[in-house]
Amino acid sequence: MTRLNTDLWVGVGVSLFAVALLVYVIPQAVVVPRSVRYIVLSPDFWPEILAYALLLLGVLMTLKGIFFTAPDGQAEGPSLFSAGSLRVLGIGGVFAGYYLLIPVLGMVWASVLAYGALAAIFRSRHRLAALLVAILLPLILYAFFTHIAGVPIPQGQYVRLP
Amino acid sequence: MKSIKRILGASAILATAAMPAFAADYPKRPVTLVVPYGTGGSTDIASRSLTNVLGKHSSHPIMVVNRVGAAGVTGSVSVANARDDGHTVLAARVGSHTINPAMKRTLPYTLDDFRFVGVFELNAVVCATGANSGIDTIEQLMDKIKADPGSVSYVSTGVGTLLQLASIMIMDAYGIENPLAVTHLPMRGGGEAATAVFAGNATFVCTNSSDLASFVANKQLKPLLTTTKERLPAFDAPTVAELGHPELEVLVGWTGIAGPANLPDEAAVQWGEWLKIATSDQGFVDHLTRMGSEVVYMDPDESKQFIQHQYEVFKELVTRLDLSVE
Amino acid sequence: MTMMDNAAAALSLVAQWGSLLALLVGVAVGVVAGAIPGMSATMAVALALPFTFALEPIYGILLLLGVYKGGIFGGSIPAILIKTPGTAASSATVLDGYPLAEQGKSGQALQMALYASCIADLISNLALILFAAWLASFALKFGPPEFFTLILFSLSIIAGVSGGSLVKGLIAGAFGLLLATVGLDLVYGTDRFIFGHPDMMGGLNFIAVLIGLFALPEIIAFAMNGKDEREGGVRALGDHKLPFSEVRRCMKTIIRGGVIGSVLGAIPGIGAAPSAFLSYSEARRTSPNKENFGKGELEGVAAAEAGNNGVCGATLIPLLALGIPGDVITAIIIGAFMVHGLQPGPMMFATNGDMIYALFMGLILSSIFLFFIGGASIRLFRFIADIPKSVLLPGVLVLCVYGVYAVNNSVFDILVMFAMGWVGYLMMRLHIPAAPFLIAFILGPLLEDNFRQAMLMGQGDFAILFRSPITWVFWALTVFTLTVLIRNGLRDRKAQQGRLAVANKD
Repeated sequence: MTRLNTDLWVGVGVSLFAVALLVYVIPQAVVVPRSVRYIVLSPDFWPEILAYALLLLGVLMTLKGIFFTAPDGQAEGPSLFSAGSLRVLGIGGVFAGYYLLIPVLGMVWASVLAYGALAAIFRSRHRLAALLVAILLPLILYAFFTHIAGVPIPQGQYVRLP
Repeated sequence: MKSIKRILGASAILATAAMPAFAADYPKRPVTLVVPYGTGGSTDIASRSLTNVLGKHSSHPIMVVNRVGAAGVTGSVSVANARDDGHTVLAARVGSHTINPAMKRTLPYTLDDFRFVGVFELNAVVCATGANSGIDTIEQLMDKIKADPGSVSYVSTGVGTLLQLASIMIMDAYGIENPLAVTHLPMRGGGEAATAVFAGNATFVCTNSSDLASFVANKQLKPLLTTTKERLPAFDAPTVAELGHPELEVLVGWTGIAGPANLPDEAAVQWGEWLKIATSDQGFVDHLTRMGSEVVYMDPDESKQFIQHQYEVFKELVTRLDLSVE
Repeated sequence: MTMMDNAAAALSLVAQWGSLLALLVGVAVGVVAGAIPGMSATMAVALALPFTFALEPIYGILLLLGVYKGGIFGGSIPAILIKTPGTAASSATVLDGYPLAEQGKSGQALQMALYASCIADLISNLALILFAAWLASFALKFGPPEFFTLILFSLSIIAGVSGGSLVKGLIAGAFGLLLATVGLDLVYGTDRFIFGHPDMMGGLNFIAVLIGLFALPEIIAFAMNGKDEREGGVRALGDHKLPFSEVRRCMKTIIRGGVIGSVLGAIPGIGAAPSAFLSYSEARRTSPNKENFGKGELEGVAAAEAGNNGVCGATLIPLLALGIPGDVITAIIIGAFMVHGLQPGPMMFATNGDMIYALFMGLILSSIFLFFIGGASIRLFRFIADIPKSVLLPGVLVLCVYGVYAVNNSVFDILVMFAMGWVGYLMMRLHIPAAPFLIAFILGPLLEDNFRQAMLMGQGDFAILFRSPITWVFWALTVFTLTVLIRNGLRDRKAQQGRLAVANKD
């Protein structure tokens, strides 16, 4: 496990996904009418073909991973608990928070916070510039979309803009 | 780029300056009019013309917003679930509010989720076939279907659209026993659908007169019937009453304004006023008439009744022919 | 009226300050709008439409055409500078445009995009003027079976953009096709992969998917790679001027892209994306620098943009020759004609011939205006390349959120974008190429719809997929391309493994 064999993992993952699709997801999530005139027109025809194709490709990939195990030769990323990985987790937090804050604060103020948080995660050296952009960019975009392009940007429950 | 911004900015300022201030309780801020269909379609054009007129009469701008998807369902759901402060309303359409509720069992809304404030535009259905199809009358078409249902096909813009239901209903009225045996060819857009008939990939199409006007004017499609009471000048085709099927007059496209079920009264009243103003505005009437529509004004009760009646007729057909979709 | 009379009358229509101004403003507004993610050319045209009601017909229509042309070119600016394609078609520009920007050659990439756009646009306009009737009758021969084979052929590109591993490319492609099946079924109207969520009924918004897949992984990866190492302006644009020799080198590709665009644009319902992809893959197939495609090849940018813009003029062919809208934008433009009581179609040549010729002149002029306004906009926008990434990338995130929201006014689409951002990052880490995924996702609905429409027409008989010479041509092309690509792929991999073996010894 020291050196992940990506091919093998991708192959196994794709195969498992394809099996899950065929066994569970497609029967559950694709509604097929009672009578289908031609089998090729059934709503689950394409998804099933694609799932079989994925299964085939996944198995191929797995075999390739087992028998041609030559390491990719690409640079490996830092280990799981490096600073980089923590920052990636932070980005996940920013994305989630951004999305959840839009209905509460409105898109403009949520964007200001998201920008600030991201710039902090990037540890930007240009603090002043970042601060300025963080505030101005969402406001300018708001003005443009709402007042010129006619797209009402969602407003929050607190500070409303004209 | 600066100069463009200035021009745009200037026009925006001009637009705002042109609005007289009204001291009404509604609207308190800009109103969003959701159009559940794409830019450039008949619902979109009708709605944009409406807001163009209303801009002069509202203290805040009314913004048209397109929320496209699933034959009008995506946009309609968004309004049904919107904050019911009256600042989000829907341009409801025949497809999203009578056909889909009648056909789709798992539709995430019902007619009761909306409060209708008025219908302002009607758009009759015209059936047409390719100019070179060799079919000149609706009877010929129906005879052809009776002889060999598999040899005939009609286009639509998908399941649960006016195009599909109108074709089926007309075939049903003409005594075709199993309209489902006729091939239904769903396309992604109205223009594509009419083009498919013109190019000979399908036999006929029944849709809003406005969508066929240019094809008929260019003699690419031949109109077979219209569901209007009187003949339309641009379409040289008999009306359904002339053909002995006045019951088909219920097949008419419409656009109305609806809010969420708990739409506040002041918003409903104000929209009623606005619709009255717009439907008596000569520019608005001219504009929509030129696009092939008929401008009407129906008050909330009339609208509700009109929509309910159409829904019930469609529902009966759907149940009888087992057209419903899971 | 004779043609000369018409032309003279047309000249007097176009040669007015009003016409020129309308065109100029249109192109400028279009370029700016196109450069903002989420503001597609379609939206810009729809927004400009109400302004044209009050104008003289010729001014109004020239304004809309200007916005259209400007908007299509404008889309290449964010695609190159911040890896954020505003339309499906400009995603082909991303493939080489962004790597070039990373190498500090964004100025060259933008200029190449401009040259390619203008030249292809000109070709397309000439096709409209000279071959409108002929191309229109050809386009009408395209029914669902022909579409299906054309799209299938376009999909064979996947094999070409798969990078190192063909299997991984195909996996990505299959996932893209699978994702495209989300939404209501076209034929039966039943739910597919909706999971009870009404927002999924209309399918996934493809702009949200594109932006999520391209732009967000850059942000995540930048966080991963630690400190802002690129600060200090390594990415700066500098004075990199595009040497004219480069344009000359790519001229064949540009002309080919323009021709592909002109033919595909004339066919109603195809859109610019397949054209951009086809042009790109043809350029890659025939280029001596094949290896460099996808890593920052100017010819790739030229091919994508030429294919993209080559469609512009040609979409007016079905509009003017038949009165049929070929896409959403021309549907809006038809609306503008009809508001002024003009009926586009074959009879318009007889009834309003002067108007048609005025349009032709306006179109040619618009290519020229585009060249100068586009050039000016490059100088304006290119400062973006100089912004340090730690300041730029958070801004890109905000811009993406606004833009994706604006496309369909849906907060749900923002969620889709974020989710696709993680998918894209995962793919990046696992070295699964993103290009096949996106090509399959864009072409997937076209492929499936047309297949099923053809099956309906043929009543379940596969013979309909071979009904005309056009289908035969595309079947043959598909088989040919696949054979060549697979053979080359195997050969390249052997060579690569040989290189790896050598590298591993070091």
